[in-house]
Amino acid sequence: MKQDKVDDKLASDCTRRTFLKAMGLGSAGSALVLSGCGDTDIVNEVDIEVRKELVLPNVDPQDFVRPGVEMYYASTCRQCPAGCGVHTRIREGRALKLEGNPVSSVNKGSLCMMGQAGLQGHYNPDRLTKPMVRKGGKLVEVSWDEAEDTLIKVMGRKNSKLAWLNGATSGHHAALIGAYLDAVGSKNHFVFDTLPPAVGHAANEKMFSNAVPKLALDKAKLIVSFGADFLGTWMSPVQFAKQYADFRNAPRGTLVQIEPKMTLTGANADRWLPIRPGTEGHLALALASLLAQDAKYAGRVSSDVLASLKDVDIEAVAKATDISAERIHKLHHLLTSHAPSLVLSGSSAEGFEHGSQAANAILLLNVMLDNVGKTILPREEVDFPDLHPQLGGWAQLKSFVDGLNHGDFDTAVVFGTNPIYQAPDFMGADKAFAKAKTKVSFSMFPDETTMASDVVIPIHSPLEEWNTSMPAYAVEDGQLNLQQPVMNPVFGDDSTRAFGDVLLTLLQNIDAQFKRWDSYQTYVTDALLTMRPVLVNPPRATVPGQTPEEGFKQGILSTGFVQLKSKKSKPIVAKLEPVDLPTATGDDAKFPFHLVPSPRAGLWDGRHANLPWLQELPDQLTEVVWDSWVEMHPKTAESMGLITGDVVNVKSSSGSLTAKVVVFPGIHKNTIAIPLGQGHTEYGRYAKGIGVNPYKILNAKFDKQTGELATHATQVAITKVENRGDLVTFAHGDLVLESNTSTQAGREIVKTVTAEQFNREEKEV
Amino acid sequence: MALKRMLENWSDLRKRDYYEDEPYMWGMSIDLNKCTGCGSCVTACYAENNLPVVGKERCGSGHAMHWMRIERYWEEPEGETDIDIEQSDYPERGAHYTPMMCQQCNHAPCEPVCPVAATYHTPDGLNAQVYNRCVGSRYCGNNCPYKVRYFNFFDFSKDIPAPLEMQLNPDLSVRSKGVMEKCTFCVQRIRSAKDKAEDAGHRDYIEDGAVKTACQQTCPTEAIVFGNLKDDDSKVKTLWAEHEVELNRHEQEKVEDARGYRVLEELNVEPSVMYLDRVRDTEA
Repeated sequence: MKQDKVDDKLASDCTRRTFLKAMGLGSAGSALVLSGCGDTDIVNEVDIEVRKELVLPNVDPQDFVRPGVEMYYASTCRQCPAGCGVHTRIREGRALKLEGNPVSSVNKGSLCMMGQAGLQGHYNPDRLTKPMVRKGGKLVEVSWDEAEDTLIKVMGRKNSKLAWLNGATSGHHAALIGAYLDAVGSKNHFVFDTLPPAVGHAANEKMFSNAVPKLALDKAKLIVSFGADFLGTWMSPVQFAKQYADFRNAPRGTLVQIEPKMTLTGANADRWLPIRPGTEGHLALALASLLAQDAKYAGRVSSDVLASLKDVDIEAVAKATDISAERIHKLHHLLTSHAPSLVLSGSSAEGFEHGSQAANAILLLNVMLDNVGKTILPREEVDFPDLHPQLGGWAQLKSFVDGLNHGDFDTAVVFGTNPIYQAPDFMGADKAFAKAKTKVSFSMFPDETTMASDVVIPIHSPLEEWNTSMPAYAVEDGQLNLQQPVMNPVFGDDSTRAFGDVLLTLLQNIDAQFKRWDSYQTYVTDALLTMRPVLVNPPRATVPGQTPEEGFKQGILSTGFVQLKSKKSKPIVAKLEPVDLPTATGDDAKFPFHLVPSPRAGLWDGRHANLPWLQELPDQLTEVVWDSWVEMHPKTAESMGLITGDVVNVKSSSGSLTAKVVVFPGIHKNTIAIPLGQGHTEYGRYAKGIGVNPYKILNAKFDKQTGELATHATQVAITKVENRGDLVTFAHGDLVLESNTSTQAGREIVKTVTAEQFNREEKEV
Repeated sequence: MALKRMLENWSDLRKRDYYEDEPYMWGMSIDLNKCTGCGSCVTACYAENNLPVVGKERCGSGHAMHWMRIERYWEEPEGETDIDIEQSDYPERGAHYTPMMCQQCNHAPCEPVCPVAATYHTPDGLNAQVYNRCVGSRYCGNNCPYKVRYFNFFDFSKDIPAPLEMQLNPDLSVRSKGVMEKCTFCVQRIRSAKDKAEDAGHRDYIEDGAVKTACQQTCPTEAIVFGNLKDDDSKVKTLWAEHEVELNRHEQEKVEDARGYRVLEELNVEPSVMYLDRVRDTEA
């Protein structure tokens, strides 16, 4: 009898554990244990039927539509992995406007242009509305019944040769994907997202034991950024812009940006320094060696690291970097006269074969300047690793493609990423993808990868589905963002489906324990209810007669996120390695220009090219709309006899492309930049057939330590094809001929005062 | 009689104050020390105000309908700069950005030239545009020194493919061919806030911050501040006062170190938007 009880208890503990695991609530360690809170299994106490009625009304028009009265629903922006909180304005059951959620720590009420344009993805006329299956070589629309049967046939069974590729993800999508792959017995999970700085994360992990440490830009008096475009495209632009605004208050912080092509952050710098691509690490090393002459800074690093700083010849570095010795000494003076400072390493410094080493050299400056613990802070420990952000990178895409090429996978599933568009030609992603016997794509849009698939599942937009996610760069550790449907599906009930629902149905076919949830919504709600004991201030019932569960659910939906308890972690102890940089090489005579594939705040990595508002939003630097272009320094253009609008051929050893020249002063003379985002061969009416994708002609070079693609290491040659193409720029009147200048023509439109004046004035105020 | 009245009340009539009894005078402040030129405000304005997307070719013909645009300059205004211009092949001090939209001039050059009085001044300081009255002479656009009036050369609304039209804001109209349009300071938000305040029993008072323009609401660096210049406690009024910019003065007294100015103020158009100088650290 006694023994039975123990067995029962063991059995129930065991199911409970697998159960929690199923909801992505598996625990990493003993830090936070859900059952430690003494209450019984909450999951079993909640009646599924009751729950359904309670949470559904957000999409039930009868209760929630009052003609002429607007409502705001809290949700989360999924336009990039930053995960800003949004309030969606709803009237008569339609989503009309997205605004930042003022209580979300990520964006504090603001949104970027991509967030604003989220509505155009939601209402996009080119959204997929019917499932499609390839029959006789062509994708044909089929009914959901047929699509489900097909899906169960190809994905609803044990299959160790199934490969799964998804974009940056987190929260319960990540948990459910993990559960699905466990259930089918596949270990082939790949995550690929273009812009998250994978090399930088690896370097941070190595040095600070925090892949994404917290950065306090607002606390720094000086920021020296080696190509980190934190105001435009780096990790969490809105969050960093908020910090930047504080940083610029009196006493005003100073920003120095060092990069070959001016980014939005560079355009706002107090000093923008064009550097020869690939020598950022060398400059950092020179600065470190200058710092090491002072025992105060040298004492913070070990002797083997100091040894690697010896014999740095400043004159030689000046020659290699194209940054004068005088300027290097001035930078050294800036670094020693401002404390605390913050030195950032970004993608244009990291995109080389020696990218990890360059990041190592750049981050080393933070240690010497004693910024660690002041402007670089450790992450707190948050439990539930299954819910943490997975950002992935090029190395994983390469493994996915290699696996396909070797015939390791018979089924390839793609969700939330577009490898055929992104991957350089040398990878042969399209041919490799074709080798899989069955290709399944979960997508909102007819993108390149989706159109090359055999089974196409049209999924809900982020405004139509339930979900949770974690910000890629969290400000408050443990913030778990919520999404709720803010309106009925745009294309009706029989069109798109929530990704979570489709995957859950598949899982139920393989693993019966998932039959417990009748929809992804109940799965997410269950998980959140179960998490209550480990949340910071979980909402309680506020209205008389409300059960605690009801109060909780209402509370979290109006806040838009929950906060998991986190555990303070130890201060960062930097682990340093000697810097080992290759000698800077000279120019390649055959391919004299360095190619910078530059991301744009707006089109991002190309995923927003189908949103007309963002196509028509001028590029912040060149003011070009609806196009791709080649940025070139005025002196270089002059020497080659090129003017803005001329069509040139850009050739690397891996391929070539054709685009129009924009004469642009903010670029190193030996460098050209082509913005990311265009060059789609599919992807709907607004994106298809516009411009080029510079990733396509990248050479097969990889960072030696992480295996990430060296995105900035390709060199190119340029030849003129023809005169003046149809380039459209808003750069004030000088549409084609002289777009290198945009003067104010004597009018006082934007005037500048010195920081000294500014600080004096603000003090008086 | 009329002359007599004029002579007797000459000083009153010459007094330059606008609608003294009106409790509102909407104004704005844009801090170029904080503006990064990202363009979030531009897209927010498209979303809020039903602005059409016109496509590449029409953008090239100057038909883009961006009520709010970001101007980007590389060089300091000649002879007007406070910082030393260094000789370099590169713009080492970054770009000059400024958001530019209708400045809601109180002596608006666009208003007197309208043959049908489609553009007029509201008592609360807005330069209003009556779409129904507009006949499309485009005189106003011609006369605007800021070039912030946009003309509907085509029926752009007909080009909106379903279901994109579901996003349109029902609080304001979708303009049709032959009509001039421009920034309204999000008048629909002002009106709705006024209504709400009146419902709550405050006829002449809207709490500061209760109206946010779409551009201000989304700005990641909070560079834009909007509010009532007649409310002494409002943030925008405080900023105008701190930076010594006032309405009713066609040229501000130059105060040393003061950063506030109005663009093309010397034209005596009395804009309602104050800009604060861009700042650069010359020690860097």
